[in-house]
Amino acid sequence: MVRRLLNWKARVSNWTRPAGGAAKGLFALLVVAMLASPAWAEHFDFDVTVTSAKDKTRSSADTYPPPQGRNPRPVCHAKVGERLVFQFFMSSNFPHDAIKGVTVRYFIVPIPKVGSPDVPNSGDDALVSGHFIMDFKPDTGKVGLRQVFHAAKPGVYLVRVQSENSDSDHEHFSALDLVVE
Amino acid sequence: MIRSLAPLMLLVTLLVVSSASAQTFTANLEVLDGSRHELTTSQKAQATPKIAAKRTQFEVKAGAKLQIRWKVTCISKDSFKDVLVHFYVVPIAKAGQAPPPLDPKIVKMESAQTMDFTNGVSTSAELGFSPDEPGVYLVQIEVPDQQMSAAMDLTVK
Repeated sequence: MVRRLLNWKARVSNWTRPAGGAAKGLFALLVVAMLASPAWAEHFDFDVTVTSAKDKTRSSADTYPPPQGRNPRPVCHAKVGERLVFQFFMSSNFPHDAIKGVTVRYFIVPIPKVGSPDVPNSGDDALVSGHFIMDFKPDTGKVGLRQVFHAAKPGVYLVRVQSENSDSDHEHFSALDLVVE
Repeated sequence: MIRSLAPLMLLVTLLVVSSASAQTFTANLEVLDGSRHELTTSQKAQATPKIAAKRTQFEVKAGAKLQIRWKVTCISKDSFKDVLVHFYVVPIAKAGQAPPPLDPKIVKMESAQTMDFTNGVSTSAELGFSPDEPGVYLVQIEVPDQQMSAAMDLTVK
């Protein structure tokens, strides 16, 4: 029991931002960018992955609006019925204050085609869905989830994790497309 | 007779007071299957000897689309920094079994978060879960550093 908890704490304490080692080199640039455009400062980092038997696809942070964001989504390929693992880590990199009462919503829902700009609501057809409500303290505020799932039907699915109610004029998300054949 | 029992009564009183004062967080855990649901609340931190509390049971059919809701609240007057809140769903051999090692190969769902807590501050979640395979699953929300947890045995037929 103790070992399990220590292992988990170690894993949590080892959570790193996707930017990793590049963060130091980019720090000065980040400060300049934040001063130049404080309203669009990045508040959260994301690391979202979907793992299938032969593929592992990762996506990082984007912003909305627009709903589909600014960057093209990576694509993960899988087979009907195979064991898939959805995992995300989201952390605060807002340096000033705690951001309170943030909703962290995640879902995997059918979409018409790869790159579809529409972001459907998470309904009964969602393969995976849920949300957390929590405060994010600067630097150490983090949440992560790992969930096993499968797709019973072929199709294209949007995998998305997003912030809501973060007291900003924009929100953050990370998304990828899952193609099930 | 009374004289001989006095130290024991004092010890029991101290244990009860100690246990009550040790409770810093509470948790609610609810599993919903459509209109059916089961709710459980956290156990107090227990002084030794530890008494194994019987876990709440909930039975569903394989493939059911469940919603798991939990809420963790700080009830202490103290403040706590970078508290780990940990949740998981893992298969177990039978109802009531102690939590097994959380091998990623068998864990169905696991989350963790860190945040600061003061009196009244809470965090919550609503998580979809669809168990495909029959068996018994342990559903647990815990604050390990405060020895607080709420748990339920989910039987999938």
